[in-house]
Amino acid sequence: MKKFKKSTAIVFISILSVLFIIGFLFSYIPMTIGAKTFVSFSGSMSISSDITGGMYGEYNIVTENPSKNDIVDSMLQIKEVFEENGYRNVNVYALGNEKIRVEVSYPRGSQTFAETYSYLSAVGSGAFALSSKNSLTDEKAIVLHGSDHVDEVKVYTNNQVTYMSIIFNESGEEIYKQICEAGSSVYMFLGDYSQQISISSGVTDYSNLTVSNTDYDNLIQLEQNIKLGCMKVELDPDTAIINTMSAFLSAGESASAPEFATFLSSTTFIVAVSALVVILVLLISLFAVRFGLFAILIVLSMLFNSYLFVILMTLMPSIELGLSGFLTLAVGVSVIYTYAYIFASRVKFEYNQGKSISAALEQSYKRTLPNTLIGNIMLFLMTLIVFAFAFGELLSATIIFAICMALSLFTNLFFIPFLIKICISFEGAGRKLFMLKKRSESSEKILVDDSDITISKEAK
Amino acid sequence: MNSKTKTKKYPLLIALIISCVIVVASIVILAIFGIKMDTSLGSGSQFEINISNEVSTKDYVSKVKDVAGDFDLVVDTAFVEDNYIAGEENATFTERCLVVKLSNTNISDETKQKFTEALATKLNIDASKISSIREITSSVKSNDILFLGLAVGIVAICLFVFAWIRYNIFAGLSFLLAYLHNIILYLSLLILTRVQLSLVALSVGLILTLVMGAVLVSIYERYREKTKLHLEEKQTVSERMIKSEKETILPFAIIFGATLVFAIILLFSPVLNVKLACVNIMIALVVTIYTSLLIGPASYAALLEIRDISLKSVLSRNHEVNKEIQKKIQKSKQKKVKETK
Repeated sequence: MKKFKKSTAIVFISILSVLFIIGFLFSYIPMTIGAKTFVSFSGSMSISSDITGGMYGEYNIVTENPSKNDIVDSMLQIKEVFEENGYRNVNVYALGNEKIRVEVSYPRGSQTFAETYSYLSAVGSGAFALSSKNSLTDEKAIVLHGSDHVDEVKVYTNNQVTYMSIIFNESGEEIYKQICEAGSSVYMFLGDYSQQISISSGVTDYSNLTVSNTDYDNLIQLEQNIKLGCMKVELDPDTAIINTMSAFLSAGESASAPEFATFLSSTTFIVAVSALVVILVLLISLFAVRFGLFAILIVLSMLFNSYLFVILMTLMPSIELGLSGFLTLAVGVSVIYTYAYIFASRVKFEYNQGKSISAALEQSYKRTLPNTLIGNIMLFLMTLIVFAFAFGELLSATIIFAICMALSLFTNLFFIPFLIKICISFEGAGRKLFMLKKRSESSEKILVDDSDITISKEAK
Repeated sequence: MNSKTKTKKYPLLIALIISCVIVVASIVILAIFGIKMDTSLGSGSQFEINISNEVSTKDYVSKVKDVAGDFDLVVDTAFVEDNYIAGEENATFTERCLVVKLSNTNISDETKQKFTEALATKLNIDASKISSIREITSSVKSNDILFLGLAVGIVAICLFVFAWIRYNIFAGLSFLLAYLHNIILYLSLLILTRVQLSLVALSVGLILTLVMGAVLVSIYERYREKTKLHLEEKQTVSERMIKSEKETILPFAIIFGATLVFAIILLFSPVLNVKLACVNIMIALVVTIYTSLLIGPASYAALLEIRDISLKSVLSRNHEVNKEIQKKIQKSKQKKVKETK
């Protein structure tokens, strides 16, 4: 491990210090510059409703005696629509045969309150149907019900025009053919909303109804509403309730409000943060006692990792930090600490074997590299495999752990060695800074070659 | 001298017997009582209480827990809903609801009625302010669980192949055994202790099982290094493995200890979900430590010893081959001595 010149090391320290300060400011401190407010990267992170609370929609089921399968199918459809819109941790469940409830966390990042509200309202916007008459109750009307006759709804763009296709199943195709033959237009119903659509003359393909619109967002919104309107169970749009709720983990200690206040004031949060801080301080102190300057390097690298973590989490708004994500994060940080500890212990071991500090550092890096590399890559890849098949909270938990492993790899491969190179550039600072004890003559060992084979002086 | 010194060995057989007993006991419990799942996996009930803005919700939750306890009902989570209409500015809180999720299912109508009456009396409110208790049906499908099982299977195969390529087939087998052992034992202990299976429990269990893999990698890497450098060659495979384990386990032990302390402190949280998550962590940690120390390296050492014994028996049966191999070994030893000099 080549050391830097003293002047180069000072330049690096200065650059790093500036980077750390800027990183800290942008990662954790909300700031207002002119008319713009930046809530910091950590403030933009998606936090799950179990920690911050969120919004919910509760919808009464209109369908009489719905089967459990139909309810589950409808819930999955709701879940799918929300997931498509970035709400990965949406919690959908039914209450008996009477209600379906949807819970999402507070909008973060680019999402707005009104947007979340509109998604929740879309769930209760009513059933989708096509009719040959402008009333569904008309006895002569030929009606195609979305829940029974629609297979798929998709939006696509062709030559800068956006189209939405409602694809029917076999029986739906037959009904749609009858509707087309009955008149020149078809009426689309979505709860209370209705729209007349003209059917072009010469239509021969009755497998789908395609509509075009220049406004992509409008069509996407309509597509989602139709998807939700095609659910197996019908929900009552008039009695739907959309409200805010407090965090699950707050034990009802505070009122629900669109802020963090609920969880921040809860006993659980205070106990969790206090415990984490105490444990981290103890771990770092242990590191400092055993390895001296390494502790500072670990603190610096963990701080740097935390910046990268919050930035990555901000870039992935669909990944929410909930209780399982928080616990996984704690395990991930532990793994980062563990590999740093393994490296530091190895330096001590190599130094005690008779090597100089720089040789010990170099040898340790070489010797612990396979362990760190294999361990981290293995954990990273295996977590990604689980992620590919995971659902609900598990999705966030696995991706958070994968991020931790990537950061651990980065820290142990590049960041800590780089910091060490800076440290050893200062002559005479080495041994004491790393808490390496002066070797006594009797225990001194002579290095035979670049391996671990040693011969004591007495044996020689 | 013929006196034999006692060599250190792993108590693999005892460890496996203990694991088997736990698994069998959990199967019995599973057959009798079934598996307990929390509301996130679709098991439980829910009701709401209309409350005024003035009352302390904390006080309400504690009273609900007391009454629920009298009816053998367990409060999973409780949170507040406000009649705040999202999207509207300057909205006022007009109504407040306390939502209570119970981890119990199949509550009889009689119990429901008695519980509601007792709760209304305790809270000093009209019974009409308490909604009916409805069972929760989650959107988690059995397919989701099956897919997760598939992921566990794929990870098992990947770990086996990885350890086979990096070390040898015996390491691969021991990796596979340790991984499956960890998962099965964790689930068995959850069933045995009647702790609810939740998404948090699954996350914690899976992640700590993967961390167990990292512990094994550290131990096997150290063992591999020793074998490559011909260190401690006079010692048995088990002894070398135990030494490798001792040399590498400290940082993991520190971290496991710290996580255990964290879980113990969090047990004082008033929220059942958090408490259960802590119990899950503790169970997962115990299983991970047990597997990392006793099952993984022990099975690897045992398999290597079996290989050595079978090799020796082959050699002793074929004297010609034996002689040739002996010559080769002697030559390589001489070469090493020369290199060392």
